[in-house]
Amino acid sequence: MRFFNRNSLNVLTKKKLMLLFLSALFILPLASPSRFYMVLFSEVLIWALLALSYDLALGYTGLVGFGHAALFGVGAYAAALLLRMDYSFFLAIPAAMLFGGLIGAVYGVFTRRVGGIYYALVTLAFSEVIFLVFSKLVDLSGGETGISVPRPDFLRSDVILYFAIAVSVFVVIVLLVTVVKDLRGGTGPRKARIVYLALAIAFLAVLFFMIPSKLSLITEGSMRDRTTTISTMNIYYFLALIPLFLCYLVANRIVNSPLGHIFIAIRENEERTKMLGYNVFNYKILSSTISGIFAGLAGALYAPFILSINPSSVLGSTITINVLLYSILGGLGTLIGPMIGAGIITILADELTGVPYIGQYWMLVLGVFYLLVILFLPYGIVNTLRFKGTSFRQTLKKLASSIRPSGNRKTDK
Amino acid sequence: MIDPSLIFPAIIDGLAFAMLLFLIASGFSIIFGLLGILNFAHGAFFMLGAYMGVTIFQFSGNFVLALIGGSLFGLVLGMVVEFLTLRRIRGNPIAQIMLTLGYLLIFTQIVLIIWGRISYIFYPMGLTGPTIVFGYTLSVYRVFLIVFGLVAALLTYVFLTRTRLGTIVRAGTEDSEMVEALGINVKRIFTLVFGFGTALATLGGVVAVPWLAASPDMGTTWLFISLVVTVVGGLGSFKGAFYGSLFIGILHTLSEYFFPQVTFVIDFLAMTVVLLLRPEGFFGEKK
Repeated sequence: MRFFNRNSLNVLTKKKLMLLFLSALFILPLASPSRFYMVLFSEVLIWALLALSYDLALGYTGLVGFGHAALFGVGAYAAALLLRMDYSFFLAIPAAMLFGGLIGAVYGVFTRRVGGIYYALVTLAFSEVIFLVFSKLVDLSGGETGISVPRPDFLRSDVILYFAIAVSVFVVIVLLVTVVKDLRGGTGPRKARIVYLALAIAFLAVLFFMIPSKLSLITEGSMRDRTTTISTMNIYYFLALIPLFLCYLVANRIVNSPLGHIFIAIRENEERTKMLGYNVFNYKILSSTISGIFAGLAGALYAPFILSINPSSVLGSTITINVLLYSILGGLGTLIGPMIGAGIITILADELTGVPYIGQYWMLVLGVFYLLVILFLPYGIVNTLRFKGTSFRQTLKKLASSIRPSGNRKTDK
Repeated sequence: MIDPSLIFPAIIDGLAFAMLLFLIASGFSIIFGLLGILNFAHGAFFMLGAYMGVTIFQFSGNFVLALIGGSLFGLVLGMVVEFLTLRRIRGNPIAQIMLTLGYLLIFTQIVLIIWGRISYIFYPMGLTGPTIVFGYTLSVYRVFLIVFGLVAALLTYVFLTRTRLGTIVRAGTEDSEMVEALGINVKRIFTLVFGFGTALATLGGVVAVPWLAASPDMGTTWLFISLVVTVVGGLGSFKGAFYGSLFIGILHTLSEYFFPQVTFVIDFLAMTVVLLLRPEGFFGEKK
């Protein structure tokens, strides 16, 4: 795979490929043949947001917390309860973010007393306490049966359809502009430009075939055609995609700012950061709070998506375990990695259940998959790809030497 | 609100529960102390021990055989797990936790596939029925559990303090690099100790069945409660595991008897408070 090594993909082309990927994400509903996949993708986006929030605390600041479920679950419950009381979704979202952020701040305060493995345990215990309290307050949480969550009203309108069309027109214009610009004299390595051009043109071609057929179904087809088309687009997808996109931009801005560098400094060497005059404690609270806000938002998006929540589905330790797995698989401290991990695991889990023979054992298959990932990709997919090897084989070699047991090294990081 | 005639039986139950806790938590604590691994699969080992005990008892009808078979199974399983997988990712604590979490998931699924969702129980001969102690009617099995747990604790203590291997384990807990420098094959000791800790957990699983039955959700429940015990007692400390078990066992049972709405909540609260006030636990060493 020499073609895609670091040197040939310069920053400009990377940005363009990112643009292409994003356009694909935004146009997906117009091209999707069935509602089923859109529901699956919406779920992927919500878990990706949760994974992103976890990466800010764990991957960048090095806060190994095992209580992420509480941040997510409290957000989900805050949104669900407000929606049940007929408040607007646009009030429920900030409320959920507020509660998530509050618990995140509490986690941050814990770092004053405990660090390392003890921090992991205290957050785990705290989140279990919240889970148990919610389970026992049946009037509030619905107990085992849980509570149903109403869908926000505005999701039932056609607004989303016009939005999707507007977005696709915008994307087409942007792509056309970049392609024309590039053809008239672009910069950067030739190979990378060809790759981008080919992809962009293929993409535009697909769009030109897909959109008119969808549009004609909506404008000329019967009422039934119209509703099915809109429903296959699954409105919820955009509701998850837009916050995820915005959060990614914010997170990306944070980790590349001086603030993010302080977070990374804390992760790498806390003592030294302290010696340089930074108030490490405050920065940890800040990082944990931001992480909590994003996780609360993910919870608020999840509750009306899944339509019914109970304490073990949103506050249970499974959430924490899953989000840890997303992060490990994708690669800690990369932002994009945990999101990719969330996508792979969610889609894989979904697909596995449909496979004959092994389908009923999908949890077992997934478990074995986890083990293999942890044993052979302990630094995650993205970090593995980012190892400075010039070729794929060298990367593998480096990786192999890095996971070989190295004596009895006790790490107290 | 509190019925005084229930206090004595509650304490006996608490002690019996504490002994089960000790069996699972001591292995957990020794493994953490020596290998630095927070073994999230420990509850799953406990559960596997329970199911192995059930199966052996079904075939042989012999409780002693079930105890021996269960612990041998744990010994082998633990050593295999350590040798084949955990050893490869030493020095990467997050990966270790993830790996043991993966085992928790896999073992739970294996139990569901082999034994199904129903729970199993068996009654060993001569250890069933009630007995009368100080005018209170108590279950024989719970009294047996207390005796059994105390004997196991004593034997483990003697092993750790009076044998050469035990001395190496304790030295390794203090500073394993130094032990290695003295010419001892620490890796082999690691494998052995992991197997030993697992054997303690599976043994605990076998003796737990006649009282609490074997069910597939045991893995997570017992993982959490052994975490609470070891944290309260002090991670890595054998003494801490013993006193922590007593404390949490009795606290848990008393809350179950008298304030059922706060069971488990109070355990985790105790853990949170101990972690925040004295992170190293009652008997842990300040690092």
